[in-house]
Amino acid sequence: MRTVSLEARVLAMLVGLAIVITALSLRGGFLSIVTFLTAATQL
Amino acid sequence: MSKLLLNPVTILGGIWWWVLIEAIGIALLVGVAYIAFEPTIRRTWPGMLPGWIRLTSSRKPDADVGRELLLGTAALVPVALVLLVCASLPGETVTTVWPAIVLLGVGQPGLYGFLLLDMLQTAILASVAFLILAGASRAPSDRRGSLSSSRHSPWHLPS
Repeated sequence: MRTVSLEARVLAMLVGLAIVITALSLRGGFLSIVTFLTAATQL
Repeated sequence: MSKLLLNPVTILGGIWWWVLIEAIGIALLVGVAYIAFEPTIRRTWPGMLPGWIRLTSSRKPDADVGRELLLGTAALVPVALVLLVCASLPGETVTTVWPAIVLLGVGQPGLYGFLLLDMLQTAILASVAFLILAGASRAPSDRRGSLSSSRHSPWHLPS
């Protein structure tokens, strides 16, 4: 079975984070980004 | 924080203090950068900071503050989904203890990546503490209105 490399996983995580933070900065504010980052590092 | 304190990667690796010192350094840099860029952001991106200012000042938080807190929390759902999908893909996924380790793998690069996440976590928590302290120390001059001359400034709640 074809495996998924570490680089692909890190890339997926970074792209996901970038999309979410961009969306938050457009629809929310600094506080929403801080809340998100604080909570996301607890995952 | 308990997860951080109990993290065997940093504890057993004997590098807990180095991670902490570096993370606090990053937090100080973030805090100083916030203070440096705040005036520019106030001018060019006026909708960005009111929620934060209202939360960290001693004023009673309003609905906008709650909205931003909910937005930031709700944004965790897609990120958790990405983590779950990445963890379910075939590849180097061994342990199920920490999602970050599941995502990054348990090889040397994965552990380094996890250490970076650990530092990021400590730095974000320390930055939040720093920024709240900065906001609290700035609150009295804010209430006097010395930082905003406009009557229609978004930095204050309507009285």
